Amino acid sequence: MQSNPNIKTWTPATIVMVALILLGSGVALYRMLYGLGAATNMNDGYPWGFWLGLDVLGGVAMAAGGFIIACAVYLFNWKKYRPIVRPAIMTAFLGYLMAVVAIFLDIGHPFRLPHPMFMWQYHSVMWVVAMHVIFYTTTLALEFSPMLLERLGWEKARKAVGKIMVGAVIFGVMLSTLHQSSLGAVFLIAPEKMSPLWWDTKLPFHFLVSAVAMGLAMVSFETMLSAKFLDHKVDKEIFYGLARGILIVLGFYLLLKLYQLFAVASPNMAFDGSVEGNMYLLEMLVGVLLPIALLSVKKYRTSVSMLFSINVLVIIGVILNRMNVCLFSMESYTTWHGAAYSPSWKEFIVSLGIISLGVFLYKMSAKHLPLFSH
Amino acid sequence: MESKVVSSNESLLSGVTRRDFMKFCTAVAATMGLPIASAPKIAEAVTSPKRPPVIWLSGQECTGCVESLLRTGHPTIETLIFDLISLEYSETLNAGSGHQAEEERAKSIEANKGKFILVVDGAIPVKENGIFCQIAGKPVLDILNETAPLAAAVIAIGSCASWGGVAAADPNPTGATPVHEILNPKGIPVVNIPGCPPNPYNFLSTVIHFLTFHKLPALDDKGRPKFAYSRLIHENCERRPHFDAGRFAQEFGDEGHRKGYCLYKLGCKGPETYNNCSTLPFNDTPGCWPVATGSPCFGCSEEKVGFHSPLFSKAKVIFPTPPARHPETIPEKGAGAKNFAYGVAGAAIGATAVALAKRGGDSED
Repeated sequence: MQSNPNIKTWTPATIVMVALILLGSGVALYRMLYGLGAATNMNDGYPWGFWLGLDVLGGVAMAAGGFIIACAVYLFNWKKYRPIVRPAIMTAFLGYLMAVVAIFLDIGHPFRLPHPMFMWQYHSVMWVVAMHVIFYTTTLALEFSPMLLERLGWEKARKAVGKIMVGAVIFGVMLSTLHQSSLGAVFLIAPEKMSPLWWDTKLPFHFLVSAVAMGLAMVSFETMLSAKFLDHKVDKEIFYGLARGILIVLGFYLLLKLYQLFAVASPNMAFDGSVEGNMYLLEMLVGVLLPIALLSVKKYRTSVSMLFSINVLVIIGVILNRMNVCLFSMESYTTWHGAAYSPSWKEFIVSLGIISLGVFLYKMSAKHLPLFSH
Repeated sequence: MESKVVSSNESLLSGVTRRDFMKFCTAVAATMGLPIASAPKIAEAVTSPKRPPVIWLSGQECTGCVESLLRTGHPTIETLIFDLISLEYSETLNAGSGHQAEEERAKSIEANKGKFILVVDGAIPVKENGIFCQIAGKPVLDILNETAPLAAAVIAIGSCASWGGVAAADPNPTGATPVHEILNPKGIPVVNIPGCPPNPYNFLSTVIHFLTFHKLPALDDKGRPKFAYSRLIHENCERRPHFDAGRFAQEFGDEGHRKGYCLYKLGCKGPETYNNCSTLPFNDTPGCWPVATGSPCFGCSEEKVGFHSPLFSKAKVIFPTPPARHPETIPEKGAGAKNFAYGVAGAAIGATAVALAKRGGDSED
């Protein structure tokens, strides 16, 4: 096959993205040469900052659409969603690659990143997370490979991958559910730091369920964007189906959050005007309550433009949730312990660069790979 | 049968309720580390009709010790002192004056030979036969030498009487001498209650111990009651956690000083001064002792420290061993990530608003 002639490579948006990638690479190089202290505002009170909250936690949650759609199409054989399975896998793959780049820059000794593979510490949730990232990124590479192999015209390899595809998807679903939840489990270590508005032993389930909601919203969102900008023709029924999925998952998520609010924390914590309370309210309003309210109305549920807005709300809400868990839920603890944090401009530039890289690679694969062929 | 305590309480301490009075006795027992069971014994002793006479002599002094004693808040000092003990002579509190007062002193000493308590405040000048401090034309040195052998017990109150105090500061032109240096060679024991002024309860507790048990409380090698002077101020100081955590006020009025950090570097002598200032509030008012108000301890109650070592020189830390575990101190308050949080919140609200406002145009076909 050929590259898609309907997608122009150099649009103004792409030029901006490439500029951001170059800038981000420059700052990333600076971080590699001079270290975390020089490049970031992270400190002992805030060892995990913007990169971890947005790029790692947010990026991984964003990638959840990959395993859900792959599961729906390859395991449940819901043919309706076949047109979006490749973009979904692509998104997941890129999301994980972005997360790996961010972790690489974020940890103190980047070149020890492969250590968990050789030095097993299976009592540590961190080890579980690391192994999941390694396995799942490999699995996603495998799920993604047919697109590349088709483009290259390597039919034999393509067929070989096709034979193990279902196995890979099953493995991927398993890893994903474990991985999404174990990212939440990482925070179980910090009960005294985090506000009870978030911290609970059920935090891993919150992470998994919200990741599913965000994954669905992300797939829907990017499919709408690629329908508009990247010459991708899809049936509107797909959006309606995804919206129903989002509504169901968010409903369940709301129950979990309400249980957390009433049984673990207490409602007045959310309304006491503290940073934690305010951020919690915003997260719930934007990411859960507003989308549920809008999706409950049939008129909105069947309007693509409204669904686009709702998808954005869910994505913002879950990213807020990850930033809250990672940073803002610890406000009173860190304040009391004399710590302060707000990201340096270098952290912003690197984050923007990483996100731009993801979007740019997605666009390039839309142009050069059979991403939308079905 | 009427209780002796209650009846004498009625007759003697008419201005004090029984409850307040028993509270005082319990507090005195606690100050000295005596069992609570000794409180009734104390009550009985201090209400006994046979009040021991007290002769109070003053040498080179500023009356600060008497003034602080007058301001105790438990059953007030006038009630207690005038009703519990029989204050026969005190230059500050005498009703009479001149020859009349001196005559009374002589009479009382004669009548209570071997039974009265002698309290001395102020240093005794010895140079040139003690002519620098005279009462009724007689050097206080002579008065002390005449009176002390007849007393049942001698208590030196204040740093001047105990160590010479401010009067003995270099170059000590009058030869100001502590009471025990004059009386110990004659075989007369002296209780030292040093301090400038000492906590009144340290004095009061010593007196009441004597009234109750007819002997002096346990003393250390410098003649100080052990219940009050066996611990360094530093050991129980409320700012000690800051010392252990290395948080020091570097100069007066700096940030650390305002935040209540350790005053060691400003010359606090707490680490070499034995006293109970950090555990027993002065005049029942917690937080009114020097360290609590931000002023370094100058070692007023310690021999060779107060009035001798420079005010702002650093004290010798006698037990420099670090603690096994650093106690939690109230740390500085950090700024947290509030600005960042609200920045993210603002961006999220903006994006939400844009997302909701943009609908109904773009991708609908």
